[in-house]
Amino acid sequence: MSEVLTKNDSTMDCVADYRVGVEVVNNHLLAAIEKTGHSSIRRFAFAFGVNYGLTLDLISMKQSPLDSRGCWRQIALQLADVFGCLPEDLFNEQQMTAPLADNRREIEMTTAALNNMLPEGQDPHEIACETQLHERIEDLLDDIDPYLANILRLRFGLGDEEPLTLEQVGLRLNITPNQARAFESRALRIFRHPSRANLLRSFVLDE
Amino acid sequence: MSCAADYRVRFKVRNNRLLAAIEQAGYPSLPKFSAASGVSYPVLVKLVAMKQGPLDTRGRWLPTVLRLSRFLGCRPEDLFNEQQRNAPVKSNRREVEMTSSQVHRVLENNRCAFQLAMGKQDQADPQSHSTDSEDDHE
Repeated sequence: MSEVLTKNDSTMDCVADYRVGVEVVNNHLLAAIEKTGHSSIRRFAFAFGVNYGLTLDLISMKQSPLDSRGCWRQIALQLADVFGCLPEDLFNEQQMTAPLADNRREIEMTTAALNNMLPEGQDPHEIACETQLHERIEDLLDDIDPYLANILRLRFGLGDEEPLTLEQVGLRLNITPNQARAFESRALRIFRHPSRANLLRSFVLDE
Repeated sequence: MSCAADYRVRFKVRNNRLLAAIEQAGYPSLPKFSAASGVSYPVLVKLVAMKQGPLDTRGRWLPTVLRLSRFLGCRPEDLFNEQQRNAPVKSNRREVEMTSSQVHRVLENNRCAFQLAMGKQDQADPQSHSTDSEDDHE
């Protein structure tokens, strides 16, 4: 047994502490999809009638948006049309010309290397939790009435915008502040239901 | 649209010591290892994802971890470093928006590279990317 331990000891000493899966995707496309209010690509594709598989291929950069003659593919034109922008806005030079065989890979890393990858002064655990909380909230918002979800997004500044007052929300949606308050209460009541609240509880308790 | 970063990079961090030991023992996947060792699959996944610490509240190794290490023929300490022992994470994933050059720095400077995303076959030495202290990827 001791021989086994000694042997494994020396083997383990050479093993990196972490294995990091890295996936690179097209941020322009994802950001544009998120701006439509969808955090799920599948739901976005369904809502706007675009092909889910082809959209995924473009996001993962496995498919060039240009065909062999250098013309925009139908899916790229369709997406640009949905977002109200030019196809060029959705893809950089590299994404247009060099589709990837695979956009994922695994890297073995030491603790020091992993820490070097993180923004200076930021706790990896904290960042991970923030990202997960954001995703969780977006998932929950996707499940409720879009109008109520929009009220919560505006009111609490979810996404890129600053939080708004009830008056500002009212002005934005052409309703009175009291109506905005009523909608907000209704949305929060839905969020407080145990089936949803429990999904967020762990983030609060650990603060 | 033009001011957004070109790439979004998703990271998923797992315990390589444990994964490497399982692979060295000849198990290509966690379900197969779970079935062979009798260690509960959900617990195994949580240990690999570092969402569950290997120690109980009194600082003793969990029975599952002892079983794991016995099966793998090593000590529990070999499977979890200090940080993995004491700081289970809520999520082992994160997303970062990056420009093209930042992606290159993360992946290429570490010799594991944008090549990874580019699907090139030449594998770099994974250990060699630990020294680039100037990487600031935000």
